[in-house]
Amino acid sequence: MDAVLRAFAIYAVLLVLFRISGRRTLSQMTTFDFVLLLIIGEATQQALLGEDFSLTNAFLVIMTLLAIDIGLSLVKQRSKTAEKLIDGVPMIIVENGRLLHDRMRKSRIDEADVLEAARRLQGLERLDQIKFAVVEVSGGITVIPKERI
Amino acid sequence: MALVVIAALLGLFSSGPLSSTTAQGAAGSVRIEYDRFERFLTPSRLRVVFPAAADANGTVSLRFSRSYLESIQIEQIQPEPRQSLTAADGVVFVFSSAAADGPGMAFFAIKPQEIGLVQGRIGLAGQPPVRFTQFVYP
Repeated sequence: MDAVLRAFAIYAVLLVLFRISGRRTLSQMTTFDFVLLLIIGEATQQALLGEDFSLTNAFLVIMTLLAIDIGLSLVKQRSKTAEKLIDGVPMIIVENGRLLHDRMRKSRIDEADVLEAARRLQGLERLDQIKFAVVEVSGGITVIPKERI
Repeated sequence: MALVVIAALLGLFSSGPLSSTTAQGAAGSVRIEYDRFERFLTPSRLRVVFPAAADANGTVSLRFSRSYLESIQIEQIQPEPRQSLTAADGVVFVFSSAAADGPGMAFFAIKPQEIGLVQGRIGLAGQPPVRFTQFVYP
């Protein structure tokens, strides 16, 4: 019983925490983000397993986490509202070369991030070459270039 | 998958309503509250309720069968027994009983050391023991 409850609690807490902290927190992996991810994993492991190191417990915890994940994806498939709540929606941050500052502040992205994505993905040099830049649900930035005339 | 999770919630894999149970001996004997399902090397508990002051010295002697002690390690006993004695087929724990009336009880923090079915026999000295069976998951 406690294995299932623990898994539920951890899943819920992590879901809420990462939803609040924003989608960009762990999407762009810097070295430190990677270390942070490991530390979070370690801390979570203690809470998930407690003193119970049996195979049965590990199996139950994994099973429960997968079941919640599948359950949530089914819910998301049925209801758009739930999907919005759990995953968020893609957000346009650059429109025809113009930065949308309040949206960028909300997702903690600055001009340099947008330009980096533009360089890396499309080989663009300036903001005015960008038609749209979008922060995806996964946390990455997608850049759509203006058509060249 | 959902069925397994529900079964786990109900206690099919230890700790839950399906798992916790009691074994009751004849009148005047002990009652053992235990988990049907245990997990390998995972701390758990056993409660033994016995009738108060079983003998003239105000002590209660509980006998654990050797086979049980071989498969399950006792980590801690509350209250501490006054004495533990070896006996022909197991160990006898002697508790001082303060209560002249009403049942006394002792808690045993246990840790299973073997996987599979574990047969236990616990009883008051000089009385037939109460038998119970636990299953230890790997």
